[in-house]
Amino acid sequence: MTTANEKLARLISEAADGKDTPQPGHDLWRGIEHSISRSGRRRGRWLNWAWASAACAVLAVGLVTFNSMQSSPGTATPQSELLLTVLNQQHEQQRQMLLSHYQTVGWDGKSGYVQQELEQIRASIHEVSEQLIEEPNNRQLWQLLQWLYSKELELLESQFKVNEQLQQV
Amino acid sequence: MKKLMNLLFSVSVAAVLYAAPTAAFAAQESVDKRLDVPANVVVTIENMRGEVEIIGTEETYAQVRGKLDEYATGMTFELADNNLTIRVEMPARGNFSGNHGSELEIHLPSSAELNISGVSSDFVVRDFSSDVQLNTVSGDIHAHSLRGKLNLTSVSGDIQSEKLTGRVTLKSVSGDIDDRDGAGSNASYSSTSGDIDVRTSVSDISAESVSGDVMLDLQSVSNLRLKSVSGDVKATLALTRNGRISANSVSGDVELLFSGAVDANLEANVSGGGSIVNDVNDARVEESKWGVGANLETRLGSGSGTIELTTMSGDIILRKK
Repeated sequence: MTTANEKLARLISEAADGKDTPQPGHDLWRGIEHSISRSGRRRGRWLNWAWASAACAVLAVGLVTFNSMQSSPGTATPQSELLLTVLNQQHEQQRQMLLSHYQTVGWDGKSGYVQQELEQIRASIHEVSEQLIEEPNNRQLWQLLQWLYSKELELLESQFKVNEQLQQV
Repeated sequence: MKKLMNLLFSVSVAAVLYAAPTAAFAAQESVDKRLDVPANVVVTIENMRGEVEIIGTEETYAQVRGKLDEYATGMTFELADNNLTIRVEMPARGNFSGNHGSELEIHLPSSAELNISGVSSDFVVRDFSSDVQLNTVSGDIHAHSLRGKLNLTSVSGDIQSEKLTGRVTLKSVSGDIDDRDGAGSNASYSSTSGDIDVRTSVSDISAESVSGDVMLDLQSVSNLRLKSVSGDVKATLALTRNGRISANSVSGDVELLFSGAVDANLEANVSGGGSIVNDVNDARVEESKWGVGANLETRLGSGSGTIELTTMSGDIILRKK
């Protein structure tokens, strides 16, 4: 009886101390650690591949661009014409992004209060771009083109803001 | 009895019809409020419709007097730390087609910094020595004797200003800008279809327009930047020794009228159908051999400054006063 009581007391005490927690047969942490590091290495390897591929792509695009610029000075796509095309494309992208952003917040783009000026600016961008093909070294014309880009975006933006404010009234 | 009922009904209808406009007018709440404010108070003023006159004083209090918009639900007039809010409260939605907007006169310490906004509200702002930011959509702006960083913008309203000092930026879309007797470090004017007419002694100036004309009556200029799409630009000025002028236009004319001697390297270029008229010295304008476009490169005086002018099809005219 005493032995049984002692055994029971020991079991209760061990349970209270947490000694009855089942222990793994071997140290699992080493395995977990190894697994984590292996997964990290795998991800690292994948990232390395991605970076390498991206670098190759950039290098390839760079080489192609460089070659095309080297091989065609003064022909169909001279450097200035290429720059002009890139600038016009960039501006068009910004313009479309601005318009689609406003459309997502519920504006249909129909507000005619500066429509005439916007059309004038669009025509001027075209006109100045054409002239820059003839006069690629005219720094003032490049500045004028940059200003026309920013003016168009500014007007589009103001058109939306005004529309919003006037709707209040 | 029936006749009496009809008569009563007619009288009631007539009374209601007669009283309706009066009731709307009578609905304009009168206000007269006053608060002590610190000298460095930052004031936010919001009024959707009507006319607001804001006057700087030597007093240490803020006072609002006048009538609120007929649709206003009240007015916020609160000071928190050094931030004072004066806001005519309007319903969130509604058809505000009545004729009776707010008519307010606001007195503030002249050292107050102002942030003012409205939609169809006209603003008169005078006698302040700190920064002013003012935005209105279709209202007019009259600014008088302000000193600081001044940004005044109206979309379709006109901007008229006098004696602005500091860093001045006046901007309008279809409204005209008329600025007189300005002084200070620099001034910038921008319009889309409105005209810009300026007389100032500021030496660093920028003006741009899409289709509006620009007329500048300047004194001694160190830096002048002009841009236009189809509007004509005309400036009368004296150029400082190392001064710089840059003017770009698509189809608008650019005319510079110099008072006094000019020391600058001048380069003028017309790409399309415009022409260059040079009455400043004897240098010849080179016409393009294809008959389209012209170019002028010349040195004026010691050539210490720079003048660069470009148009696509507008004329470039250079004259001495």
